[in-house]
Amino acid sequence: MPLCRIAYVDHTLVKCLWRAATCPGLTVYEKMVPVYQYLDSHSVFGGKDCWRSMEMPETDANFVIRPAEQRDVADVIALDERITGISKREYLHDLFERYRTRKPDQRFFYVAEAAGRVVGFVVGEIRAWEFGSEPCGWVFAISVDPDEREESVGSALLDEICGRFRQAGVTRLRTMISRNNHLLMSFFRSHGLMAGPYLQLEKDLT
Amino acid sequence: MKLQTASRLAIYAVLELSADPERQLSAAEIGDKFDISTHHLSKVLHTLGRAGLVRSVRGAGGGYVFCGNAKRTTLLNVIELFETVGGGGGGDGGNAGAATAEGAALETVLREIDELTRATLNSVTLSTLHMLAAGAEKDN
Ligand SMILES: CC(C)(COP(=O)(O)OP(=O)(O)OC[C@H]1O[C@@H](n2cnc3c(N)ncnc32)[C@H](O)[C@@H]1OP(=O)(O)O)[C@@H](O)C(=O)NCCC(=O)NCCS
Repeated sequence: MPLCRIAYVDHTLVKCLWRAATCPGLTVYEKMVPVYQYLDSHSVFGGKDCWRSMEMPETDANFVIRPAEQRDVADVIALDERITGISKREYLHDLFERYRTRKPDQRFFYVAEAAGRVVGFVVGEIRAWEFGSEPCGWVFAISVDPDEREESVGSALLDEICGRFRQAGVTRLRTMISRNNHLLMSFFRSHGLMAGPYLQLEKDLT
Repeated sequence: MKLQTASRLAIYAVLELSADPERQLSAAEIGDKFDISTHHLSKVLHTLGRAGLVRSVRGAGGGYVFCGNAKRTTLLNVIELFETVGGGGGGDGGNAGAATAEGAALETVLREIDELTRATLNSVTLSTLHMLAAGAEKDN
């Protein structure tokens, strides 16, 4: 059983440690990575990303969450196109560049990698005072490869970005979902998101 | 939004039973907790049984057990066994004037509300409601 996945099923360190203790066939290192990840995303080590300096084991049944790199952008574009049916090549290249070069402490672009392949991504940033709202962490996009779903990859990506928002002192998470996207709605609901105080309005300008 | 009594009882019943799918509970035990009539609850449980969400267990200590998937069963799934959600029009005022421009404009707004209601109920699963209830209990 891949420990990284188990660690995110229930977001508590206790469960994570308990599983580590009862999971045979894993090295101590493999058992500890999700524990470090958990501590890191909850600022227990002051966000030093200490576990990242360790070499990650590459097995089929495992995934890691890490900041997106230039080489991931093509995979993210392909994954997004596969899911939404729309190619956003230029937009995503531009987004990655902006996130990397401007305000990297407030902008987050993470990928989930399994066996050297990008199997999911999340994009979000801290926005303040737009629409009169206090600073909050926005998730603009989250997607997981259809072949890798229901294995807690999405939850791990969301946990990661929430940890980053918390580290930056933000206490509220916000997103916008198409009301027809039942899957995404259920996912966010299962993470405790509720309707917020704002209502999105729009008008056809043609 | 107002729920019909049967829908509300059904939600309580599936929530109580799905909290521990191993546990059998009688209509009286569920009724006691929520202070609702066993007679009414029995009818509701029967409908839930036909929908495959609960199963009745016979014999001494018999009752009902949950046999659905709490992570995939939404509030809309339960409510729609008992009432139509967001049917538009109807209600006490009927559809009077629906053919007029004013009636059509009113329908557009009512449809918007209906769609939001359905989307909300269809995204909240029993598991999510358990989580919300646990949060509310902690706050009390
Ligand atoms: C939503 C999404 C990110 C979830 O990723 P995932 O890795 O499958 O999610 P997880 O395994 O962490 O699931 C977490 C919870 O979400 C909910 N969930 C996940 N899949 C679900 C499904 N098929 N039906 C209902 N609820 C579901 C469950 O409550 C689940 O909890 P559980 O694991 O205890 O059952 C993924 O399905 C996806 O990419 N969907 C398309 C997203 C999209 O449209 N993106 C484009 C616009 S941004």
